[in-house]
Order: sequence, then C-alpha cells, then structure tokens
Amino acid sequence: MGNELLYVLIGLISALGLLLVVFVMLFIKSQKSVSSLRSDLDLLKKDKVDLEKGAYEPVNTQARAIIDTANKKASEIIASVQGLSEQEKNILANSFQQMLAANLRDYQSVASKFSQTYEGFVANIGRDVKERLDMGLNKVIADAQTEMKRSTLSVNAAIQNLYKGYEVEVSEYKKGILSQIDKLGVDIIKQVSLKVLGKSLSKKEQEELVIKSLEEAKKLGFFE
Amino acid sequence: MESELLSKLRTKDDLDILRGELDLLENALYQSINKYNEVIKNDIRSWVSEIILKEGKEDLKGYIKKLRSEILTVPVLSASINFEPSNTFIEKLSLWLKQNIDKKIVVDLLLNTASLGGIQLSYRGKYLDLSLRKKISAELANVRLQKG
Repeated sequence: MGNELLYVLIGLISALGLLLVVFVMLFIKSQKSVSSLRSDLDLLKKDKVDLEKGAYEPVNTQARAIIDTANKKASEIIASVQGLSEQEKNILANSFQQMLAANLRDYQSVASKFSQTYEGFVANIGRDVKERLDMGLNKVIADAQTEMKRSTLSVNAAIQNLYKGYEVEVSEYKKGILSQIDKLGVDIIKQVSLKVLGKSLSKKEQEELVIKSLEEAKKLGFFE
Repeated sequence: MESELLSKLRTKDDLDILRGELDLLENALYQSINKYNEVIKNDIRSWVSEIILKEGKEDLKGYIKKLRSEILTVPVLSASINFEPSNTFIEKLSLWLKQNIDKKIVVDLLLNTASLGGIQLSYRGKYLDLSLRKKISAELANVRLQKG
C-alpha cells in the first residue's frame, strides 16, 4: 500500500515536471515570437522613415518639374506675344503667377491627402503590412500623379483661356482708344473749334479778331 | 523835329522802300543837280517827294542824314496772321498801333494760315501767341481719354 502511494506520487511529480518543461518551452517560444514581432516592428518603422523620404521625394520633384515647365512655357509664350508693351506683359506674367500660386495650393492639398492615406496604412501594421504598404503606396503615388497630371492640364487650359481673354480685352481696349482718337480728330476738334469761334469767321471777323488780340496783348503788358 | 514821313509809314515794307529811296536821293545828290531832279521826279513816290521837298528845302543833305538816323529808331512789330490783309485793314492796323503803342511803329506782317485766326506777335525780343490754334490747343488739353 505504501509502495503504491509512493509510485503514484513519483508519477504525479514527473507529470508536473513535464508540464513545467512544456510551460517553460512555451514561454521561451512566446518570447521568441515577441522578439520577432518587435524586430519586425523596428524594421517596419525603419521602412516607414525610408518610405517617407523615398515616396514624398518623387512626388515633390515631379510636381516642381511640372510647375517649372509650365512656368517656363508660359513665360516664353508671354514674351513672344507681339504688340504687347512691357507693362502689359508684366500684367500677364503676374496673372500667371497668381494662377500658379493657386495651383500650388492644389498640389499641397494632394500632398496632404497622400500623407493622410499613408498614415492610415502605417497604423495597420502587421506581419504582412509591408506588402500592403507597398501596394498602398504605389496606389497613392499613382493617384497623386493622376492628380498632378490633371492639375497640369488645368494649368495649360487656364493659361490658354487667360491669354485668349487678355487678347480679346487688349483688342477691345485698342478699339476703344482708336474710337476716342477718331472722335478727337473729328468731333471734339470741331466742337471745340466751334466753341471757341462761336461760328465760322468771315474775313471781316478775322480782322476784328486781330484787333481784339492786339488789345488783349496791350492789356497783358506785352508792348511795355 | 520828327519827319512827317515816319508817321506815314505803316509796314516794314514801307520802311525798306523809304530807305531805298533815300539811298537813291543821296547818291544823286553827290552826282549832279540834274541827276537829283531826275531821281526825285521819276524814282521817288510822289507823296514821299512832296514831304522831302517841303521838309528838306533848306539843307537836303542834312535832312536825309537826319532822316536816316530816325529810321533806325523806328520800332518794328512782327505779326503773323492767317489771311492776306487788305490795304484798308493794314491802314486800320497801323492806326491802332500808332495810337496805342508808338506813333512811329511799323508792322511786319507775315502770313501763317496754320494759326487759324488771331495773331502771333514778336516785339523787342518778346513773343506772344494769341492765335486760335493756341486757344484750341488749350481747350484740347482739358480733354481726357477714357477707356472705351
């Protein structure tokens, strides 16, 4: 009886020992998993920094290249327009610069959208996050490029519309000036002449005007 | 005593003609009495010769010399007008000038149709534009272009 009890205790202790070994092994394994996860997380953080640098840069560079090209092209168009004064060209160039500033605001809006989407991806970090991140970033970059292309088309259209509008305005202005000059050449001179003369002068009236002018000169002290 | 001749001069042309007549007379005087008689009878205007004979009967050479000096003091007014003046108008103009400015003054009339009317004066180094063109220009200066 005593021996039987001893054997049961020994068996029980052995089972507990095995169980403990299993627990230790499981603990060690879980520790490895945590360490692996931590390592993955660090790697992902590093990837995040790299991606931030590497992903923003192409978009920035491309945007600036597009804007610089648009600016250069617009400057060439403005400079080559015949019949515009330097002042008119400056007005046109300034108008374009204002439009460019508006376009830059659009670009900043696109960049902001890109940043928000990117942060959303980073927040969902997991074991397979890197693949998803790459896929997502590619999509966001593609979206940003599409937006920039759309903005470029918009800039080109706006330049053309601005130039056409300005050309019409300059043309209308010149017509107005010519009309005024025509009036000066005919109506105004005629009216003013009549206003001064009162009526067309006969020779007798011309003679009287000469005598009156002499009297005026005398009053002015011209002969003194 | 001032010669009656000077008060009868109206224009600078009159003055120049008188100067020429005095030259002829002076030359003739130094040639012969016959030459003098011929010149004063044929080459000098009748109203001029009448006054000369009247005023210079005592000392003709001295009279002509004095007259030449007086001619140098005659003031000349340059005046541009836009029409060919009639003889009557020149008379009227000269009368006004002698009554209002100087009894010896003569006028040098110039034609300038571009002045449109009125007169442009030049006198003793001064200039005054009282032409219609100037007055119209002054009116036009107040006209401003408006963007049409």
